[in-house]
Amino acid sequence: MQLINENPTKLKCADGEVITVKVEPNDRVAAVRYALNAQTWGGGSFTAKKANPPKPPNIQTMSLVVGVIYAGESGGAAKITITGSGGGTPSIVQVAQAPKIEGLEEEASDIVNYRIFI
Amino acid sequence: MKTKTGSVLTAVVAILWSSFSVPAQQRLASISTRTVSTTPNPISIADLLLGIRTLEAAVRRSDGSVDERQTSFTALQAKRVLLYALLRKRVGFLRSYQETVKSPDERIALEKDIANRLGELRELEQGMRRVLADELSVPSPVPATVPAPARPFQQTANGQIRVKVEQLVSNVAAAGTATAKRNAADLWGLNADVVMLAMATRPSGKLIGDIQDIRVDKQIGGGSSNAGSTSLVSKGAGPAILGFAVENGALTQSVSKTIVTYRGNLVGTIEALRNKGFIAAFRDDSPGTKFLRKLSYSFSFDTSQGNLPGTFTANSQQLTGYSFRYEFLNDRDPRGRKYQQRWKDLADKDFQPVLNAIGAVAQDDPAGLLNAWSDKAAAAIAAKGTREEIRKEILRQLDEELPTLDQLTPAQQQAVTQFQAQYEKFLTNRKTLRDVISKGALVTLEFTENRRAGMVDISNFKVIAEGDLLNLFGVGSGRTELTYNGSMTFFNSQPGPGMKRLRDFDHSLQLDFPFIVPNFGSFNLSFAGQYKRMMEDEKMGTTVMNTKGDIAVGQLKFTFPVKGGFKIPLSVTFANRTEFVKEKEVRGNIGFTFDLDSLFARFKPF
Repeated sequence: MQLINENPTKLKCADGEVITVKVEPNDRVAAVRYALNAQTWGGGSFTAKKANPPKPPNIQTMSLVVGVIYAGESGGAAKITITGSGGGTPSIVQVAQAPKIEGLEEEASDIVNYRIFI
Repeated sequence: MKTKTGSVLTAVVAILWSSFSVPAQQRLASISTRTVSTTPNPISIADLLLGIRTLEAAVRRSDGSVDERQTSFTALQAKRVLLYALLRKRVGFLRSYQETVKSPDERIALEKDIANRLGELRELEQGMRRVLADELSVPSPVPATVPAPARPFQQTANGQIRVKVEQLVSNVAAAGTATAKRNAADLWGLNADVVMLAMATRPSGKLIGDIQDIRVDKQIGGGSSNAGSTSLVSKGAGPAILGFAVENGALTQSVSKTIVTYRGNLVGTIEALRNKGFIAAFRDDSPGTKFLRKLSYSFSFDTSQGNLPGTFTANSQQLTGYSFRYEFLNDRDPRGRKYQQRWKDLADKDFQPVLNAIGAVAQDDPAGLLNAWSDKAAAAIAAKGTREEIRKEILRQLDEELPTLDQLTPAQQQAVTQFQAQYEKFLTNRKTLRDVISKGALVTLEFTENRRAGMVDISNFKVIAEGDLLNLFGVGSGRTELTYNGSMTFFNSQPGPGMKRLRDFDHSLQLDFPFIVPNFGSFNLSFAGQYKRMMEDEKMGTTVMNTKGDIAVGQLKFTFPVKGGFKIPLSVTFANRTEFVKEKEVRGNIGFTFDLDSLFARFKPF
């Protein structure tokens, strides 16, 4: 698995590569949820597969959305690590709840939209 | 958002003003010009003042030996007590004399003189308290520091966009390299929710128009607050994670006059010592850790005491008190088992469809329209230099460059519409759950030991109970908070012949009405009352102070926000007397509070 343009949310994977998603939330995160190809997914690992019929190289093949719900006003954070069975550069995204500022709402959630190209 | 943010650190600045708050120098000058011809005491007030000033200088002299300073300090205390007694006698004499006077003008003049004397007494009392630092931590009519009440909050889609855009501006501005800036500005990757909402609402023009006026500087920070001297009733929520040093986020520090108080809990301290960072400190949820997490402690130091008055040495001479607090019941912890199922339901029923909708738009993008736009937008945003330029470019991209709904496939359009409805439902239900949690019941027992120079040390036991109790009487859930304090204070040793060990007891109630004014922020109106029974007179050295009796205090407080994270609390306090002066007192207070939230985890979230 490689990062496209060093962007951790744009992943280039090989057909058949096993992709592992690991989320480490702190205890101010109330819940973590996933959507894989627009379907509810339980997290863990999945296999990258070419679309049928195949998509052009510049069009994403798969979609992975990871969301965290923050439990309180501030301090929520999570580290999302994605690795591929074929090695390469792991994707690491750290999400953290925006500090509470008077006049602005508390941040309720964070969502990361991974674009997977095969 | 995607940056290192943080834990809670709060700073509070409180400024006191009142009709009695004549500057100290001015008041001392007024005392010194008065004669004592009407008192039978051989020592004059003027002589005492002169002696006090001389001794104060001796105590503060940096070249004096420790023994010399200690001797001067003891003598200073004795003179202060004597002056206090003289002034009290003077007031009594003037009152008696006033009753015999028939001339209205003379009565008015006497009344003014009495008022001046009372002002002098209060000033002297404050001076004594500054030295007798423990008095500040004794349950007094106006406690020095209390946490702010839970505040109401809003959750709207546009509000989320505002905070996310502001965070995005900070992330891009803080990124060190061109690549990091571009990746931080990848709206479709890191802020897909903002993009979806922009697409859903942009045709009406409402979304962008609503967030155009964002001008909040993220550098200010924000978070939990620590009130100044404008509250009457203590709150019970102890710190969640504290430790050995404020710099490491493991201790909270508060300063009131010359008193420095550190508050922490054992678990947070140990974890900080292990250098596990803010987040790791919360990962251990073993039963033993859970028990210890409910136990917190504090230490107070008076910087005006010790060998180097005015210098914070934190040694035993400056230690004026310590306390332990245990939370018997805490229904405000969102991690609590009580709320686990509700969080799960929220995630499964309301949040999961939000993610699925984003996935549907991303997955069904045959021309790669959104990815192409996001790449281009990221490059444009990353090319900007200042925060304002970055902000403007983000809003321009969302407002002008983002593909419109009619450019999307029917399936994408449907998903965008579903997202908007589902996201708002999620926000509403999360707010409801947060309201319930923030008003959960809280019962705390606190033990405080106070060391008092020149007086008998005392121990205080306090019960603090909080909750949305008015909900039981039909007031909407989450709209009010009732706080009760009950305490008893004991002398640690026999205070004097025939005197009881029980020094005092009191009961206090505070009712908070937090509310929101759109476009202004969260306000709070509170009413508080306290009844205190002083069971015995206080004894300082050989002087017995006539403190026995009842004290009743009422307080009305209104807290309102101003821009930039500041809040201004206004309060009026009525009292029939204070602990030392048996005269009515009306005091007004105004304070400024500001939050420095999230500093620790900003630098070390993992």
